[in-house]
Amino acid sequence: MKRTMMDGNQAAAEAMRFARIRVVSAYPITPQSSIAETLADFVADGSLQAKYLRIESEHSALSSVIGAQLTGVRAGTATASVGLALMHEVMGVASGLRLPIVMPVVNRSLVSPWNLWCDHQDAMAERDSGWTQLYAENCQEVLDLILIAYRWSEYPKVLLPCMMNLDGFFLSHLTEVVMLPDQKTVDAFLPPYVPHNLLLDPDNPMFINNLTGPSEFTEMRFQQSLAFGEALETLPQVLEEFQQVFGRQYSLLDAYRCDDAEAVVVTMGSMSGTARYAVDQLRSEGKKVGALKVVCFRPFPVALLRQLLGGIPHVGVIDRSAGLGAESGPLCGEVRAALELESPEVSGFIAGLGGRDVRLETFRKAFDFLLNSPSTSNTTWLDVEANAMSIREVGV
Amino acid sequence: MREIMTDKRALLGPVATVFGSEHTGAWRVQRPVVDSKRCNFCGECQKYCPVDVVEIRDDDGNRVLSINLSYCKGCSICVEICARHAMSMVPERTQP
Repeated sequence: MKRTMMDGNQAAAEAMRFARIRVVSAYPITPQSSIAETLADFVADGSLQAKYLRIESEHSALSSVIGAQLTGVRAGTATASVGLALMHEVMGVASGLRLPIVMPVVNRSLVSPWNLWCDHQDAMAERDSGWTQLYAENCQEVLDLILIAYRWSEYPKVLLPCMMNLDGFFLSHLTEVVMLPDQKTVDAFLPPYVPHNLLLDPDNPMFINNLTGPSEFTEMRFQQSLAFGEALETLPQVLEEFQQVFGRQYSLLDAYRCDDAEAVVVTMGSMSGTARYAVDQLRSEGKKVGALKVVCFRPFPVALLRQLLGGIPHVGVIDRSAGLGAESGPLCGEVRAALELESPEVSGFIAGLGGRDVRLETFRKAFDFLLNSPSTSNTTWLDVEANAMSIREVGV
Repeated sequence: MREIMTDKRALLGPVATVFGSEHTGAWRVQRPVVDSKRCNFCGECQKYCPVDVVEIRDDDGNRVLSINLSYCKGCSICVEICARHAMSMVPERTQP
């Protein structure tokens, strides 16, 4: 174990090197580019024995990673924002073929307006694509969750690809302390890749991704659906194994001071630390509040959520994506559906879009609403200037 | 690696491991017939046939041109290419 300073993208690249990926195929996009660049450095200096493909788009990057992984090795790519959107078609191929590819996604807004900064809309647009989704809060979690994701995704009962989400800039370009394990320890936790399903082998030919008619399509989707159930069962076990080897404890949902809370705010990603800070501040002022961090968004741990928040009177969910046209943001919709038959009143908030900070004051507003508003709200936009003209730099 | 896939029926996802051939002749709406008096067995139609169903063989000293109608799709390239106009297309479902 080595104590080092690095940013989230470096931590992601380190994790992929630890997993001994044998093929890298990536296309640069802000704020992901330094993952692709760091992996290129690793290949150049010989510390990662991999074939590096300089590819012409994200669509081709994921396509070639699928082809590479089908030959029986771990293959890696990473992307963000519109790059993920360009992968959309191929995302379904990876999951439909049950390939346990692990891909860091550096969360960034989708166009338009053109914007480079943190937002979860890119990942939310892929929430039905058959990939599991984990969300990291800090750079250590980026490294750890990628190692966990490989172990988890490759379980023969699971065989689902995993998107490991890290917030653009807030994590990708934040330098902080990361405990780097040694390769031997990682190897013990993550043995060499064994393809348990489809495989490209000239001695044992398979025709993969052939046309599938109405007589079989439903069953294939059903098999994927069963796999998400298995994934939900398997992840706690993998987290337990991880804790035994590396000493750090993770859970699918991380509850903080929720036990006697009157109001709990649900978050994902880098804002979760601020949420806990806000909880401590408000607790010191005598307010009974708590925070819940969602680490595993797909599969969504409904039963665990009910267990943790079932008796809480007021629950608020902060979505970092707008969920346009829906009653609430996507995370809020999931939480509300899960708690429908329980006692909490669930309110939705939108905050932190396009890289806007989610600060202590933002959480104060959310908690104030939850504790004092006589009604619930599907969608309350926090930190928004209702009259956009007031923030125009050029006067009319 | 191979022993892990002994039961191919257990593979997940869209995959085929048994490779059969469809009798594409069933698609045909017309079929080629050879006038054996005109044909000199030059083999041009054999070279041009896109599905390689034309066969020229010796049958007790007599040369014979036969077409495998299980796979002939009735494209009529053989008819077009024949310099001696020894081949013609006839509609399917009519008695010869």
